[in-house]
Amino acid sequence: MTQLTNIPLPIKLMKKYILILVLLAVNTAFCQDTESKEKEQKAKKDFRFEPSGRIKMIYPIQFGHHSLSKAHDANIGFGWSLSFFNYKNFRFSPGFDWVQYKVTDHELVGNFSASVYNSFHGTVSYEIPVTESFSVLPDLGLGYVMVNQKTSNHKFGTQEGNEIRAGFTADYKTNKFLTLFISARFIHTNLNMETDPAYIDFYGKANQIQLALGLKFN
Amino acid sequence: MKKITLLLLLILTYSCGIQYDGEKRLIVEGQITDRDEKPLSGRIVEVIVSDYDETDVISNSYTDANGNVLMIFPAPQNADYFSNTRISIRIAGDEIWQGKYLYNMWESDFTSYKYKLNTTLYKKEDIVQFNVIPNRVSNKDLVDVRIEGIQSNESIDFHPIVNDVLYANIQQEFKVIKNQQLVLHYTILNNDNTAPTSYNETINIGNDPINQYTITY
Repeated sequence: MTQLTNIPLPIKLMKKYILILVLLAVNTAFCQDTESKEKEQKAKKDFRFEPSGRIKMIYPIQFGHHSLSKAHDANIGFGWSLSFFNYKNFRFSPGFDWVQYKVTDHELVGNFSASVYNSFHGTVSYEIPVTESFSVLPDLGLGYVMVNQKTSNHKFGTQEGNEIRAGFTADYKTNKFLTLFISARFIHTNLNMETDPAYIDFYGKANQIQLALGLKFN
Repeated sequence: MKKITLLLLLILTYSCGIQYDGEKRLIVEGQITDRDEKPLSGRIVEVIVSDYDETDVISNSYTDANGNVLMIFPAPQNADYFSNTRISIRIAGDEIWQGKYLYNMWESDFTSYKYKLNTTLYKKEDIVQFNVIPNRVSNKDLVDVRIEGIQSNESIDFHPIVNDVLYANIQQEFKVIKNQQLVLHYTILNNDNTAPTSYNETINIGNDPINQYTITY
């Protein structure tokens, strides 16, 4: 104690300054760590691993002047899609739709019983939360289409093509694991076709409104 | 074991039956009329695809009130010279009206994917037989027989096999419409290195069910 009191004043001041500087440096260092953590957490919030799957019943309404609309009746179809990541509420979901159309006008399409519409598609959706349990997801997607013409025991060829789809889904979260949803989307299909030019569009294009009801597993 | 597995896989994946091109459509359209060019409604028309093993009625329809028919169907694969797949069109007959059978068609017989089936059907009671009877009395040969007139053409082979022997394909029986004048064209080969001689004969077909003409050469 005697020794301390004997220390000259400038050195005493120096020690204080050093202490203040160290404290400031430590404080600054801690501040920087908190910021980076926040950034990291924000990034983690932006890009999340959130696997989910959807299964759905499909009711397509074909409209316009084309073969699926004029020479077929749609049955209830089925579909599924998967999604693994959520980036800023955007999701990419690969999926598959299957719908069987019963042939109603054999003179226009041939003597087989059904055309089966298979679509392998990828969709990007954006989730807009409305309430805690209800959200709306507009979406846009592309697909590869195969239409198989068949009877129960014989194939009458396959028509390939592509589709563009746009629509929305309304999700209602019932609990942590299960969400009910309905969706409606417009799908325009282009199919490969060789025939008399007057009939190319009739057999090579299709337009539908696809309504769906399903479950999402979170 | 590997061989057996491979064989089983081959059997399982082997696709039987006539193959179709789902991305190609053929069209049969036209009008069916009677002798007076009045439309015939309610006639059954079928499009048949066949190969050695199988037959599919790929499309069928009825003519409408104007006698028109339109059928559109997936094209069979390889309906051409190099394969056994063939397309036929059959118009069903009944007690009153004749039927017609157009057979042995290839895809190339469709122009721009379309075959125009504009055809006339005759009442069965209007169709009679006309026979050409060859009577060979020398070493000459009958090498060509054709008739010009109204025939019922109940079956038409689109790609008949042409025999190399000159007189092997001579048609001797014709189904023709009664009460008309036919022109019979025939050619005699003299077999003495001289030019063949062609003849034209006008023949009256009446109401008799069987009419015949003898060519003596």
